[in-house]
Amino acid sequence: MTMQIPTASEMNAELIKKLFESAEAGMSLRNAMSTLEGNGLKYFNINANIETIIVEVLRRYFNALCSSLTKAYADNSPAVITLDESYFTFGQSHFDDGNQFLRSGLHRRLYDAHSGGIDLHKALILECTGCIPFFQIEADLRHSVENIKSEGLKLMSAALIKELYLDSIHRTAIRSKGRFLVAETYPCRGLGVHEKIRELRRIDQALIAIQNQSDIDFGDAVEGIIQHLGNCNHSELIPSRTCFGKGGDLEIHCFKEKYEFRFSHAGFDAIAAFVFMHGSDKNTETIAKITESIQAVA
Amino acid sequence: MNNTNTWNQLDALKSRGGQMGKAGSMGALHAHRERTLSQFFTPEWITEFAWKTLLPAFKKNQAYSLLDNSIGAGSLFRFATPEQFSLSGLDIDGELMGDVSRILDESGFDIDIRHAGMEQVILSRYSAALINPPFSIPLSSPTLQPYPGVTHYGKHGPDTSALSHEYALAQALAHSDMVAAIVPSTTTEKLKEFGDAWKRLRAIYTLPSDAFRDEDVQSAKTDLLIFGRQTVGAAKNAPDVVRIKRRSIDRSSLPEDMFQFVCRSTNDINTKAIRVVGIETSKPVIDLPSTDDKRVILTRAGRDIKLTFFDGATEGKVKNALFRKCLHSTRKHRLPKKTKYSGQYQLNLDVLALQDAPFSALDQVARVISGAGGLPFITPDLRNGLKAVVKQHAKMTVPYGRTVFRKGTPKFKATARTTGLLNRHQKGAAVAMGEEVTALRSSAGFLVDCSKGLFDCEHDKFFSTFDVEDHVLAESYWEEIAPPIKASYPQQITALENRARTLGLDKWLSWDYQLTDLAELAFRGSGICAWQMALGKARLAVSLSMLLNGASFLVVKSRLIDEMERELKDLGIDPGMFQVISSLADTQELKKINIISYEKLKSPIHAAYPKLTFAKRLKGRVDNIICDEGGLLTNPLSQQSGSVWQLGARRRYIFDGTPTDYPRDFLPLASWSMGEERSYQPYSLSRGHIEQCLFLTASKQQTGRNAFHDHYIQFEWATNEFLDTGKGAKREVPKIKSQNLEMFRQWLGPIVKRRVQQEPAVTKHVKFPVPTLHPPRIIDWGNDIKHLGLYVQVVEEFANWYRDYVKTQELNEKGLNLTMILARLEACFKAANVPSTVKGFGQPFNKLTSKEIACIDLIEEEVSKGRRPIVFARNPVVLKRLARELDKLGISNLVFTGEETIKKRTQRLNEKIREGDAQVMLASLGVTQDGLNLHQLNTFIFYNRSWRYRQTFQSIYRLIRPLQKDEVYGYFLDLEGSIDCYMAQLGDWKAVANDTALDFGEQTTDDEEFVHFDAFIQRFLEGLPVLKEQLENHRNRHAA
Repeated sequence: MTMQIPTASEMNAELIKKLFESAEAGMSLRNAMSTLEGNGLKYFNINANIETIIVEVLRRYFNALCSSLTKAYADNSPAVITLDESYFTFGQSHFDDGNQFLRSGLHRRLYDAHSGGIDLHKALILECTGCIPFFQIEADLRHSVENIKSEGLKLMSAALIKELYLDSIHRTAIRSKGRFLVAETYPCRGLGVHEKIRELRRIDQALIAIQNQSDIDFGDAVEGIIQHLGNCNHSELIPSRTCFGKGGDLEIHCFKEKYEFRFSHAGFDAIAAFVFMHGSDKNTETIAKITESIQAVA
Repeated sequence: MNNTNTWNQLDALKSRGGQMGKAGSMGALHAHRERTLSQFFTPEWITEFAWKTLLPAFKKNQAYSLLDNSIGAGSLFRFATPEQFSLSGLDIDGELMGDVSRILDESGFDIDIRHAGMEQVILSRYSAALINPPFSIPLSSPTLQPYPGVTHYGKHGPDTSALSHEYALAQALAHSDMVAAIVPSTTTEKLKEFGDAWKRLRAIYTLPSDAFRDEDVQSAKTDLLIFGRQTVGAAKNAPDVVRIKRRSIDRSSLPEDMFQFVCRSTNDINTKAIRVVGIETSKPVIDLPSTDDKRVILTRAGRDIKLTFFDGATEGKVKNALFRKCLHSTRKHRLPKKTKYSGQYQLNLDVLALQDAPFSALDQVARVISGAGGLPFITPDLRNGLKAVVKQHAKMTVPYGRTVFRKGTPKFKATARTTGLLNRHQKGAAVAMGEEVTALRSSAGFLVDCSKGLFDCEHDKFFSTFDVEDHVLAESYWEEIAPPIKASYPQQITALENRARTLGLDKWLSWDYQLTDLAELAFRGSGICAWQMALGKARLAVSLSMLLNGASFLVVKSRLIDEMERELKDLGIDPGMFQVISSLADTQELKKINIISYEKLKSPIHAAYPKLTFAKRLKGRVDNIICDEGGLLTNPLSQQSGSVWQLGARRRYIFDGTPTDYPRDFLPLASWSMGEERSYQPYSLSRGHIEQCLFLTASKQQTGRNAFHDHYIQFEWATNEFLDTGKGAKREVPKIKSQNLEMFRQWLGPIVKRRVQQEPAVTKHVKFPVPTLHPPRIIDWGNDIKHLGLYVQVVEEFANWYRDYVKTQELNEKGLNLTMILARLEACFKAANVPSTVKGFGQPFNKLTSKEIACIDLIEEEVSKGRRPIVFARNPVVLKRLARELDKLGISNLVFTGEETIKKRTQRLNEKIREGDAQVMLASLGVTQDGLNLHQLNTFIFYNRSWRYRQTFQSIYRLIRPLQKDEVYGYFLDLEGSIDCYMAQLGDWKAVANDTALDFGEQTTDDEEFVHFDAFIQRFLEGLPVLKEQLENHRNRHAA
């Protein structure tokens, strides 16, 4: 069952619960530390002040919430759900609270209240949660969830353009070679294996998304090269003329100076369609120029 | 400089091949050759041996000229002396040529050394040639001289492709009395193919395999060949063993005397300078004197602008300013022959007519002239001429009225099956998976209205991307895609229609579309009438002849002369107005309508004057030509086509219901009927391609043929089967390039007037049955082991031959000759269909084959239903065998083949079929195509397939006539697993291609892979093991 987006009141209630629990635990911890210090043990260095507790609990709660929602709704896309931190972080100074909902003045009072009792702490907690715009947060989360898929697709379009150097001004983005359209990338060099693998994973992620929307099968070319890089020694390069994915809609041919991504015409058209549908204006422009130039040559 | 010093300096020049090392692999070989130019200098001992062999032919005190057409460092000339020998040479290594020329010149030699390739020069005559040419570099150039067996059909046309060493040898032989040549041993083996080379051969010396090791070539099989002049006198009959010496030689070998070995000195042969093609230095271009009259008169000269000058300096400046730059063809780009300068088309009226503002463009030309210091004056004649060309362009580009059949509905909804690109030329042209769109039919396919906007989408693409509502697929409609020409030119068309009525032509052309089309064709003054069969083409041709001014020629096939004459008589035309031209006397006075056959046109007027044909005789006297069944003009190289072209005429028409087999065949038809290199018909067969951008520069101008192919003809990798082996090659497929399908139809629209039997304008007047084509009957071999065994044997023989042939051609870097393959394939065809005619495979095969039995069964079946079938077959032997069997069964029949004269067989046809009641007609395909009406028959059976779509189609339509009252059924008989099945595939593809080109049909999707001839052969051969297994099983069962 897909995770539900918590309502404003649910978030409020849950936060208060967590904060109260943490405040009480913090109080107990301080008392325990005090007793231990009184008995001569002085090496505890735990900051369980009410200010720290509130800042950390707030931060962790909202980050975890965003992370869970991303996991539930992103569907393998690179998009992530985030929140404006001004909703739950404190202003830096009285003169520069910016857009923060939690003002620096309240933050100051939390510092001053560290030796206060649990009732004071709870009152301050309620004052803090009262400043947080839960309704706005709920709205933002709903909006992000609705758009995460398209955002993800947009990011994947951008990744394809970038990682395949389709927007390069230094070279022809795509050239025709037999039955293929070829994009060139830089090869993996020595210590850059992990970065190269990351690049390839981004390409792979995008190609899988395209496959899911079309009847193109890019095969296992990218996975093949990732595995190979993953297994090889850092000082080794992929031997020149190694080919991954032979016979499919994507073949990757490795040479000393480059990797050639050889797409079938149908495969490249699928990429172009994907970018047209989901890409930013800039990426759409890039792909449009490429398809027109292919058309002119054909 | 003394001789030793000279050669020391030349020896110091290292060859490229010697410097670069070996190619690492076959794949790198070409690149290696390109870098080294296959340049390996000749070792001294070989040069000495060759020189001493030639030496006895040189007399003291006489001067001789020597040639080396890949001179390199001149090492082959090392034993020549400046006092006796002049040296001529060429090489493409410019760097080296500079050094070699300098060194030899300083040594006192009389030299003519050019930096040029052997394919770029025209040579003179030389006493002797010593050559060590680069091996195996492919030469491709329009400037190659033709040498039989050496030059081949290439990218630039006939005799424009050759291998470097073969060409060098042929060139040396053509221009020198004696030749000493170092060539690969494989060339020695082929010498008999190279013109008179073998007859001039005097010695074959096999060189050691390490002869070139100093050049870093460790092993090479090469020969030193010595040639003399053609033997004369009694020596002419000397056998090869006497004339030709053969042995292996090495450093210690001594030369020997050659058989009848002489050469001419420079006194006897006038050795001229080497001419490099493209550079004319012989005479001045401008010879006007210098005056103060800077006028430049611009007048019309046909379709060009002629410039008249009065001052030489002005002429030079203006021409430089207009023409700008000399252009030359290169290996990568071949210019049309007449294109010499980048700016020359500013003076072409067709190009001006294509500009957005033609008269502004003309003024711009005048401004260029003014800018160069001339005083331009545009004559009224030129302005009127341009006006006329512009008007003509408008008139000739309005398409003929046209209605086409469409599947589906004009507008419908569809859902995207996948996210897909709709086209590549519009930004954002994509749909998302599951998106619902509205599609509108367009001439190029569809207009798709989707969330991203309105975009074009080709037919194939559309159906591979979208699912269409079910009801749409079941529907169809007729769409008027081009209104009648009357909509654009009402007065002109109405005037023509009125004139036709005045002449009484509306009585012959009583169906309204006929009169409309008559007027349109007359208005256009040229074109192709592609009315389907039985719509009245003959009457239309006659009416057009009557309507047009001047004398008209109806050119028909000889067997249809009588039919045409009968048509004219039936129409009641005054006999004084027409004649059949069958003799010279008939050409003295031409009538209004003159009927002549293609065969007569190309024949000589008298045996004593074989080159004076009827076409030549009548040239210039004909106003209008109408070529019936003019589809034969698709082969412009045939004698018939040549004669028709020669005849000339102001107005030219082709009448043919199935004018082409392939889309590319429209080019020769359009070129003949509409003209070439025109604003309204920009392509050509052997000239240039006209387009708007030529006004700016002609540097990228293509030939008309190349442009046509580039725009429309689809080349694909034959099949994926070839891709993995790396031996794939691009082959033409009978499919028009999808992205230019719309452009092709726009080009063809004003050229072809098409009507089909089922369109509303026709069915209003007459209904034709749509033949019901039954699925092909696949005939099992059954127990016919002997036939199957014979067939397998023949196919195996073909397979072995084919594999060897392909291998040999690949080794020699030559293409496959399809004509030869087809000829060989004929044996397989015969084995399948007429095994009784196959010789050389044991006992003659006489009993009925399973296919013959199946055919007879089918005939019986049809006859029993009261139907009258016609059986088509290629070979009369089959038809006679079937006739014998039908006689035994008491089924009356007529055998109709070319074995009888036309008169005789037509007489029997009338007696037995048209007026008689013979139940079956057995007709050979070659004589039952055009002009024969057989509406008395109502079933057709193809005993065997034809390679030609046109032949099949034409044969079927013998039965689809206005008088046909019955439903027409059709059957094809294919012998299982045999060549029949593969021919069926080819035929289907051609049918689709033709339909797409002419009838706006839909090209097949990529799923249906075109079986190109190569792949067709492969699949045909791959079927052989299956048949062998079948045979084996049969034999085993029989034995058991």
